[in-house]
Amino acid sequence: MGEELRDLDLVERIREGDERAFRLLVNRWRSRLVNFCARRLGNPIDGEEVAQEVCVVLYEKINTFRGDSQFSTWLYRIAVNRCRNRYGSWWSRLKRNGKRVSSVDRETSEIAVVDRDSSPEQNMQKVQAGKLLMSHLAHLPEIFREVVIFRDLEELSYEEIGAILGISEGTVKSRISRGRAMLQESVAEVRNEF
Amino acid sequence: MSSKYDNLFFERYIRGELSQSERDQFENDLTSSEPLRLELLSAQAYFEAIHAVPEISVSEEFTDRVVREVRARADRRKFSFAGLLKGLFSRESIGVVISMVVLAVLFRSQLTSVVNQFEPSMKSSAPMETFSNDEVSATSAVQESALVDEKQSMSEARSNVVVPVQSAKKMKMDQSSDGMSEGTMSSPQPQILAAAPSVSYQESAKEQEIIAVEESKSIAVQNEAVQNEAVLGSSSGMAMKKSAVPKMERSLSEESIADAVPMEKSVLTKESSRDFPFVQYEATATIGDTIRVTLPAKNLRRFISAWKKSGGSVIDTVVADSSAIVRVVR
Repeated sequence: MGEELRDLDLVERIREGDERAFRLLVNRWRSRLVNFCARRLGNPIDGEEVAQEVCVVLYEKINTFRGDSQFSTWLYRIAVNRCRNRYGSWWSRLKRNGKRVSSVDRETSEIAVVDRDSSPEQNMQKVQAGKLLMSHLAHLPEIFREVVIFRDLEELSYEEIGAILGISEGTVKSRISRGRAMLQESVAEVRNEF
Repeated sequence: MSSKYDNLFFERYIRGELSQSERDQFENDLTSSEPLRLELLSAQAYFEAIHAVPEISVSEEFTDRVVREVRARADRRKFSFAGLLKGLFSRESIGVVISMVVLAVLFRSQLTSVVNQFEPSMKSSAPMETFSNDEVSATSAVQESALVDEKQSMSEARSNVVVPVQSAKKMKMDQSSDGMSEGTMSSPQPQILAAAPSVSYQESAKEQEIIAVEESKSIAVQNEAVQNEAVLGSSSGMAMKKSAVPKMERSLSEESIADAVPMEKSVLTKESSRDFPFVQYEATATIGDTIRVTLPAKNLRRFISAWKKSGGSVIDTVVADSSAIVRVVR
């Protein structure tokens, strides 16, 4: 079973009970799902847990995928809903507050993309800016946070973002513009600190 | 932020997505506007920072954990209450339940049919035939019992048959010149039949010496007795009795009068079903007697079938008045 198989082909095989196809699809999407969930939730540990839930739901609801939209849109929609429900309930918030650090290695979430052309100081500055940006992103209102992540981190098109969130392209652009404006202020603060 | 350009435009500029004309226009404005240049720098810094956001690596066990979780949930679902309900209300389960219900109904119907089979009277234990519960059922049974002397012939028995005194008094009976009798009994209170059979029998026995091989016929009429009419006639002698006191009229037919001899006795039969109240008539006659039976056409056919099965013979069937003349055989 090669990588050349499209997501839809894998979906068909999963419907037929092919576990290898499911593993392949999860391997293909796990990084994007974990990163989106971690950034959306502002916590890599919770992000990985939710991404795991998304994959389980993917398996359970695979028969409900009719192919009307792209598979990525359908999968991200599940992820968005799972993230929104993560801290939605009182019990979830309680669990979140009282949660202990799991076995997931936190250090793995702090691997930065290093620009080899930049100096070590500049790279360090970028890394710090990136970490601070993430912390600010976590405090951004949800409606702006989601579109910014999808656009600037996941690099999805406006159309796709609108399909995932169920909003128009105009609304997507508007929210992105406002979200970026908020984040640019925080980035400017970081730059001033350095 | 410039009113003319927003960060979406800056993004396109940084990504190189602008057309040549847009790009030239923007760069012309950029050289002449310091605020615009600062805005572009700010956007550029933002995109640099956003690209510097650390990539979260995923553990290699991620997929294994997902697969384990999927299997665990599937196992839990098998034993969960929801799974139980889902199983209960599945198509297959509903089909099985419906089949069982149908079978149970059929079995009960069959069982009820057996229960409702005509029960032999006090002296009768002959084979019985029963009609369905919702229809009039007529059952006949022929029983032979030697009461006193087996040597007495059937003809002797016929000559000795006597109508009980009590019955004879209360029955409106016109004696014809050639000895035929006609009795018309109208319910609801046929006292002659409601009297205790044993008493009437004893009374008649006192007056007459009844030593005969006694043939008893039982005709059970079931269900909606109000609508049913049974006209029984006996050539030699018979008695009818009504147990549930329904409004039912009975009369001896003219044809029965031809061969009629005085009634011998009447026997009250009991209701044979608790669920389906019906009335049974029992006629006692000797072998060779003919009886006219008048029933609703549908029930008459059933009666004839039952009569034949029980060993009786049918002499004639008159469709016009929905009656049949049957003969008692051994």
